[in-house]
Amino acid sequence: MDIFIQQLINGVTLGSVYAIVALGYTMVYGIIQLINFAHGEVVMIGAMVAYSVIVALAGAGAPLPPLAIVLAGALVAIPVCMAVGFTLERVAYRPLRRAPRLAPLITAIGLSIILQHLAMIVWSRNPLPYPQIVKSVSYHLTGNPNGATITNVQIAILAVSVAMMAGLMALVYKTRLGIAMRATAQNQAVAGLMGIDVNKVIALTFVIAGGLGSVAGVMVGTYYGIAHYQMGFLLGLKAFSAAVLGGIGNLAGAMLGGMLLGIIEALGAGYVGDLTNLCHFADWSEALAQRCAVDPNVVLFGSNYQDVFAFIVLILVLVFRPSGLLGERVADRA
Amino acid sequence: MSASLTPGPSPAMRERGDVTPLLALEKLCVAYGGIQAVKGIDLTVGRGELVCLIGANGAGKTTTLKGITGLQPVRSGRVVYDGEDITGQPSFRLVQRGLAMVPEGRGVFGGLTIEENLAMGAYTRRDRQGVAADVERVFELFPRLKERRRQTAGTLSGGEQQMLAMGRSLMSKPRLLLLDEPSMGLAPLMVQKVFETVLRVSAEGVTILLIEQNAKLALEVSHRGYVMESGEITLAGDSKQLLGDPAVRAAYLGASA
Repeated sequence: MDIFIQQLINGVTLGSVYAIVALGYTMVYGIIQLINFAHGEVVMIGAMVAYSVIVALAGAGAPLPPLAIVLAGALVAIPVCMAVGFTLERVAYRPLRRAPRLAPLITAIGLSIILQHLAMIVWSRNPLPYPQIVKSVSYHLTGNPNGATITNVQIAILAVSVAMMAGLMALVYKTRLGIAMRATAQNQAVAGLMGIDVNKVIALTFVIAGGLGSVAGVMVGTYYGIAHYQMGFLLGLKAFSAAVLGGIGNLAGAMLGGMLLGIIEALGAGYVGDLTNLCHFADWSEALAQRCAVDPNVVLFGSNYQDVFAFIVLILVLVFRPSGLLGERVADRA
Repeated sequence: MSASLTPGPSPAMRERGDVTPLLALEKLCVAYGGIQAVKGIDLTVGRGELVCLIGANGAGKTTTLKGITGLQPVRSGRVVYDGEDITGQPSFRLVQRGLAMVPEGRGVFGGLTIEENLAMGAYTRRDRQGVAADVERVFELFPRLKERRRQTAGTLSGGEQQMLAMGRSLMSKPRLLLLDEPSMGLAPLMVQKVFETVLRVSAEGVTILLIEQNAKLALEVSHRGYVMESGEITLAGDSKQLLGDPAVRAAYLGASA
């Protein structure tokens, strides 16, 4: 039971990060039907910029509380990633707005590679150890002293994610700008006839997505204690899977998909070793029994298979419910 | 159609020749790729006038409107609005100048509520109280919309969507209203209601360019009319005269010549 609770906590933490990144994919898709594959790299740049700021501040021995240093890192990363998002849209995607859909898609993949390598030039090809300046404190959740815990970092990630999601929902559903975004997503030509500057709304969508992504990057870096120029690739693909799971283009779907994916992944990683332990079948074979006598864990798939679950989910969703959990069926859109 | 659908006195009659037209198209050409859909037409709409542009499906009526509002690039010629050349201006800039359009097929935002649709109509306005008052005015005009104000527009019937589209276009306080086929796909009773509204808006002083396939109705409610065929204006004149014109009767009113 403790393992289950622990993996659930880990999953929800991870899931909230996926959800924030998935929101970036889904917002952009919702408004211009583009899968911005470079979004994972925006997240990576957020992590990297914050890394540099944190290292500089911590290294200089600035008399600041650790939390303030991390916050300062995020406050620098946010505008940088917003600017990256804005630039991607303005320079690469806008000229292709009327092009066949394959063109912006391939451009997105190209941008992703470009951003990775720019980051490699700036921050080197080595994994960078995120300074663990925030002292990790664990809180026990059950009576068991060796049982499930939640750390202060996890609590912070959850709180920040929930606050950002609530803020985004309020922006999109309650403000004039948000209504204009939804109107633009539904019909750009008519939105223009309302006096909405469609280009500005689209640019703003990229800026907001970049801002969300940067915070996700800082959270990932702080949580795993590491940043790397390629970290955005897998993270981005998983968040994209989460967006598809929830129904791409649907904000609530991205949040639900992110959370579910995080939980599935954590539970999968927690249990896959146990479930594929061949020693359950030791009775079946003499050779196996002998090996299990020496080592009771003859595991077919270990927790290093964690990353597989996101993509199994992606494939299952694409096969059985292509529109995603909360997505509208394609026929309903006409 | 009932006698209630007759236009007010033509402003062109009242103030003949003293002002420039609110909208003037000068040799306007609009093309889709290589296909010339609008072939150099001239058209004017005077201040306060209700002018209709009629013609068969594919004559280039909608393309003309798209050329005016910048939805389709203009190949050559000019669009002059209120004495100013607005050719090729992006559509969002025109709203601030008092130009509103109800697009073909209504173009309501199906996923937005009725209130949100109306709020988008008033997007360029900053006077909150005035907007709130105008929302009430639209609800007065179309009580059906008020009952459903928090429903998404996608749940409305075709006629209700047309009402919403018209109400939304009025929210920007337009001086010139472009209506693209407001009767399309509507039941006769709803058509009557829509045209009553067109007349009421016209009577309030809004200049209207009405595009219609329903030629009889359009000529009945308007002051002047233009007939379009294969991208060109073939006939123009007083709506009453056009209604009696044998060629128009034969081609568009279903009467034998």
